[in-house]
Amino acid sequence: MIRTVSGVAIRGITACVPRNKISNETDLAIDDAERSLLIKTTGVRERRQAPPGLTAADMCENAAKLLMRDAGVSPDSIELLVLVTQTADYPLPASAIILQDRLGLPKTCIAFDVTLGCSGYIYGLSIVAGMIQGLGLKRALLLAGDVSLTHCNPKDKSAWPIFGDAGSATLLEASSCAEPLKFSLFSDGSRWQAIHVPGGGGREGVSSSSLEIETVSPGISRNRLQLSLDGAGVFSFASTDVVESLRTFLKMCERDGRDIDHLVLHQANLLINRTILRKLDLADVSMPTTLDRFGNTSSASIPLTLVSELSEQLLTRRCALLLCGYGVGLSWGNLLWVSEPLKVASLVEV
Amino acid sequence: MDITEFTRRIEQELDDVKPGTMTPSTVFSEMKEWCSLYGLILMALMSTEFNTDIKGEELSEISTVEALYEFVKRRGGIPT
Repeated sequence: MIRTVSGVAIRGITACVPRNKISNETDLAIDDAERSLLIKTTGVRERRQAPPGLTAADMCENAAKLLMRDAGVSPDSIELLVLVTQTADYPLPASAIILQDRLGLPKTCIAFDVTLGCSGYIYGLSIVAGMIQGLGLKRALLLAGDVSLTHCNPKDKSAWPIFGDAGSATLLEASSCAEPLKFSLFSDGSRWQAIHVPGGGGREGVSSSSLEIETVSPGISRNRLQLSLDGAGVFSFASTDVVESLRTFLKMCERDGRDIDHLVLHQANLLINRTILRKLDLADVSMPTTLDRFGNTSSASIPLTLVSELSEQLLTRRCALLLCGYGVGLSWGNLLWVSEPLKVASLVEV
Repeated sequence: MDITEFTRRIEQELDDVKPGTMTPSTVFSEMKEWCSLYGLILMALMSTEFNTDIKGEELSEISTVEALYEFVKRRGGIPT
């Protein structure tokens, strides 16, 4: 099913990454052959890690301030702030509410968090655009980011070498001349264990055993508060459900490869994304990637890829973009976005 | 495609495996080069070239090249 939101334009995007780099070529305790295979398969050569004290909300705040400044937008005019993150500053309150104050937004601003990861940018855009349309708002900010490495054990080769930290901010406005945004959104809770953190929540709280390290298999050790990733399960999901959803979505939008300038996929891993591209028979469509420099940055991966790889085009011309986020949940979503030239498409380091 | 050709195609895809060292009876997990990433590479190969999607739990039940060949054949990925 396609869900269409009319009268809403995306005006600008800023992404923010930490300066601190981790290299998979030099910083992994695995043998050379496996390292080489890992880099080739995942596409991740290096990524960024937030130093202690720098949170996802901090990076999103930084991105939002620069975005508002560069777009010439007053914080007073923001009526809605949504933060997509799985690594909020506190269990409560929601970080978006704290950011309402830190960004100088008015107290009339609606602010809340959405707990989604890899699909979160698409979901976030659908929520914000839908609320602009439904509530008659004029201007809103979508923030999306995670410090995923805080959930990964350095001795877990299935997760640690893949993830990176990043934040982002996207400015949306009501606009009568914007092309409709077309979404398709999906959830499958039956496979929630494919990517999960078992402890630390309501089901299994923090106890003295939460921090005990368990070796699951050679090279994969973690505790109950750290991420468990079933790589084969995620691959199977992406190469079947995600591909099928994209195929159906394109058909329902009456589009094919010739009508799409760029396919921007969540940056999960290169093998998965190449498989998706091949199965969709979109070999001629540009598929930008930032996996080599930033890894999998959760909900920030799509905006980060947009500004890192496509900023010149996004700033100067109209582009037909097919965006797809997929992962933890399992949750996935697609967006067909025909962009008008953006006011801002920038990447900053902190 | 017969099983010999299928075996050679798998060898080509797995970078560190020397040509001619795999046979239909090769047990994947007993290969000295084997690691979990090879599982993903095999899933990608079967999905894109043999039109056969393999679930993670199915892959863990497939121990040999021959078992993989038969699995793909049953799913119609290899013309009989």
